[in-house]
Amino acid sequence: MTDNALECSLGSRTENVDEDQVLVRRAQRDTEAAGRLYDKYYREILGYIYHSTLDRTVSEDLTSNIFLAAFRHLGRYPWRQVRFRAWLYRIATNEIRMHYRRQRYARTADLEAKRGIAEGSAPCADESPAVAEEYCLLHRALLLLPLKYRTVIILRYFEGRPIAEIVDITGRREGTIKSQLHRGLNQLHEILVRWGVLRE
Amino acid sequence: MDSNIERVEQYLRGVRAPDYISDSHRQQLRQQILGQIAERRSAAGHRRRWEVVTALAALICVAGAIGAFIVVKYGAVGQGPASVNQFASEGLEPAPSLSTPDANGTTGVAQAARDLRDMDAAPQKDSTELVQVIESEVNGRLASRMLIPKRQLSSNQMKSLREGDPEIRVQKLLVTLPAAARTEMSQLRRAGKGENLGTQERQMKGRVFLFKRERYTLHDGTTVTLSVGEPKDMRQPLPPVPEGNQP
Repeated sequence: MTDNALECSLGSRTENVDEDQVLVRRAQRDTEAAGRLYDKYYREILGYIYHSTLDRTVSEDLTSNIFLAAFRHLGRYPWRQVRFRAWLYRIATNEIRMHYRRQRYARTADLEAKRGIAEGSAPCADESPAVAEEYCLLHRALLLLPLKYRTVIILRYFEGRPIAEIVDITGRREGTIKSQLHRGLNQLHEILVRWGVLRE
Repeated sequence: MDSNIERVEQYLRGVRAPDYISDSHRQQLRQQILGQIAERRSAAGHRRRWEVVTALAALICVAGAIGAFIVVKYGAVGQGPASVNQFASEGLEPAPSLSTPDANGTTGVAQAARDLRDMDAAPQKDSTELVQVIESEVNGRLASRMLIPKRQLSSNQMKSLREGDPEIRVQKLLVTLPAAARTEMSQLRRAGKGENLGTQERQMKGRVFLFKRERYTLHDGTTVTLSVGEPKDMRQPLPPVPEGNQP
């Protein structure tokens, strides 16, 4: 049973990689293939950015930057080193980092976390208030973590990326990722305990 | 410590992340991306076209340069009497009479170029015979020495062509006359106003030549002595030597 599941998983991954490979090759000349590639990953990337920033306007802007950059540099995409999805996530992660650097988020994070998210980027409007409130609270806590910890936690728990893929995305070693996850979770636990969300 | 991690992991797994989808943004970005790809493709097409045009232009330039080189090497210097093409080889005096009519009686550039090549190759083939030497002295100093060898072409025709004496060139003994003086000299020669200095016997290239000497005095007092030598043992009369560049 496990073997079958593994084979099935491996098969679908290879198929996915092959499909991406074909699409990426064609997308450089063929707009239809480019459209299919875009449609396949748009939602995932926008979701990742949104979970990282919890700001709709910023999410749209960054997603635009990511896809424009990716399709502009599609010819430079290193096939043999990294899968296309990981490559896109890598660009997205860099964009998020650049966004925080531009905004000097480190200095204002505390302030923003205290005053909550601005109205223009009010999160979770379509979600139930409870869901929205819960994630907003968690997001505030995440904003207090160093960016590298925040990135691996979001990738692992909200994007559902396996450790191996996070290794591809961040370009760090597996041990480093596990260590960052461990430390990040510890710090997050401390914050949530301090806020009374979790029991000590 | 691990229980803390477990607890926070459990908490994270229980939190539902909100979704955000913007169809208008998706469509807008899609159009932008596809538009850019189409634009790049069209620009690449333009660039390729320009590359082809540039490559062709470069090719034409190279071909032109090669053509120019050939013309300089075996180039026409204009048309002589009876519309005969005139050619000059590199380092040689112009040879108005070189071009030969072909079997149809027309003179082709290709035929002339072939003749020139034959003429160039003749010294190596040892198929030349020195038939005339023209020397000029300006105020008693040797100004030029023209050798007129007779060469057999591949078409079995015998041709003579004026050539500068390479030994004289190497020694740089030439005294050049100004263009006006050369014109005056030509006029005097055509008018037959030279003073006959008699004949002189001299050995040239292992052959005894008889030089007929004439002296011309230009209006500024410059004296030009022209010596035309022919082999003493020559039986056949030479074809007339064209009056090209005078010393």
